Amino acid sequence: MEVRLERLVGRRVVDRDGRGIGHIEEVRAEEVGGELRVVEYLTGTLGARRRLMLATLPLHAAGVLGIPLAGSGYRIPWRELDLTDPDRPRTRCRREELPRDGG
Amino acid sequence: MDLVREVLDSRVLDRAGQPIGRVDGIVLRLRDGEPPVVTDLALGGLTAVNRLRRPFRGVVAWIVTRWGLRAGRAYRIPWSRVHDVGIDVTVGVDERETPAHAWERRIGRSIVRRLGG
Repeated sequence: MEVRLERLVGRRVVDRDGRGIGHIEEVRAEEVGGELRVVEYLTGTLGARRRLMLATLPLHAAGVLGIPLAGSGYRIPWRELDLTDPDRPRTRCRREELPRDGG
Repeated sequence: MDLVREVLDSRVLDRAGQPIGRVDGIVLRLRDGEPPVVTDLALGGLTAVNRLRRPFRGVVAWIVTRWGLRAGRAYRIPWSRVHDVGIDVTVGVDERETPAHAWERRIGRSIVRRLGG
């Protein structure tokens, strides 16, 4: 099955209980054995900050600039995101089981 | 690699460094029990239009195809032909193989015909 990444960006993700965990902002991949494999999906402002290259900005500086601080995004490992319906992505786990923004 | 920040919407250069378009889309193949893989980059066609939300997608698609601004399928470049991802994405294709070149040739012939050349 093919999925278009650009159609995933901005999609709202819910967990297995139907609770919202943000919108897909970034997709991280790594090259393994000649393949470019998806590692994780980033939601919320975590992904947006990475796209703006602000992920390493000191937290206090981000706060001064009014940028939301840690805890506002999730990292969804590839195996935890169900893309059976790409228009309605959902995780296979509860949001409490997902790693939060670590920078 | 961050696919949205580093690849999506980046300019694509052919092996000679000539621009041939932008990455309008990235194709993922889902596999049971294994991580999704990037199979192709998609350039042109209605790829960029399809990123719009309804109802704008349908309206814009009608407009651009009605006026011949974009048509048909996107041009796909297999990920295996991507040489480098930096400020631009460099791929191992020749600009003459691409629809962008075909479109330019068509326009050029049309202009020359009108000039009587």
